[in-house]
Amino acid sequence: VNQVHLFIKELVSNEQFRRRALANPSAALGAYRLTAAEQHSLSSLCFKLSSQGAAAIDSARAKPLNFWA
Amino acid sequence: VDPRGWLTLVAREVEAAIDEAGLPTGYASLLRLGLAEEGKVLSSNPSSRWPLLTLGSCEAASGGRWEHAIPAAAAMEAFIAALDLLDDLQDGDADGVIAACGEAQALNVSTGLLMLSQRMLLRLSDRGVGAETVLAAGRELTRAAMTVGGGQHLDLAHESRPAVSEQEALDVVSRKSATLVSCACRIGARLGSEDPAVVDLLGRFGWHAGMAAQLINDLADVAPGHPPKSDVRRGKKTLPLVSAATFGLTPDSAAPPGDEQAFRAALAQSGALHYTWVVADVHRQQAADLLAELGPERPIGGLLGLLPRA
Repeated sequence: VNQVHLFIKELVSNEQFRRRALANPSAALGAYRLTAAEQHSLSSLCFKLSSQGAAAIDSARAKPLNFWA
Repeated sequence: VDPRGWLTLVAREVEAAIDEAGLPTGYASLLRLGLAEEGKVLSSNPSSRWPLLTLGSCEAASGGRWEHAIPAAAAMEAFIAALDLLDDLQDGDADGVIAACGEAQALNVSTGLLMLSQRMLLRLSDRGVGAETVLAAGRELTRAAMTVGGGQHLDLAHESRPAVSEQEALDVVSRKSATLVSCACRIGARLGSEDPAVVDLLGRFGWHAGMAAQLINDLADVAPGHPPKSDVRRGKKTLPLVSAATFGLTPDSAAPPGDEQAFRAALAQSGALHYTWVVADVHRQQAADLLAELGPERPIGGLLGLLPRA
């Protein structure tokens, strides 16, 4: 289990934390030991969830490169 | 350059290579059919990004030249078409070539596409590319093919295991998808520059771009509302399915047996899809950062546009 796991676990299971994180991602992320790239991605995730709701993730584009998969 | 313009040139190269081979009409038609699946270069609405990765990398590495790399871009397209067909055979997924000619002939078509990719690399010499560079391109493609085969072996073997780690799941993504994108970029870069640092940088760009793209694919394959894929049913060990356990979700606890939509909904609520999205986005950032390292004088807009959006 890494710090990204822990942040997301809180995000999806703790309603109070979720409200705080979507309102102010930087403050919520401050309690976790994350790389700059992870911080940036988790901030983007919070922003997407805040503006688009659950569909932000569910609607991720299928087959962007027609990969062998 | 308009990507559609590039794809038109690649399509012409593919047609010329098939014509040159002197094949029986039916076999040539099947090779063309394999290259006309949705989005591929001979389809009515081509959107394949494989040739664009090679041409974009050549353009970025050389500072603007790409014409001589057209045969290599065509080789990548044929190589991927062969692998796509093999994968559909192994997974039992729908495929236009298999539907048209059955599994035995489809295997022969896949072999033909693999050989076509080799022939097309050799056609680089017709564009004035030196023998040493043609050899280097061939080395890149065969090295990638071996790595990808190993990744496919692990992927299939994982299906029968009750559990694999996240690291093992990511290793398969690295060997299969990231290696291929890196290969497409390294071949293009090698045709544009003899500087190993540039080739290495564009190869690493491709690796991260490939990781990001495949993880987004894997996410979409199990997200609610997307068309059914065989991933859940077959027990594929993709990151969203493997990481579900970390988020406290197991197939047995999440939904009644066989109710894939209920399982997908539980997966979405567990955090596993969020996690996969974040891992993919970190790779996307790293790919973009690597391109920026090339410097402002290099034309990198085409490659940036190929990064997956999630």
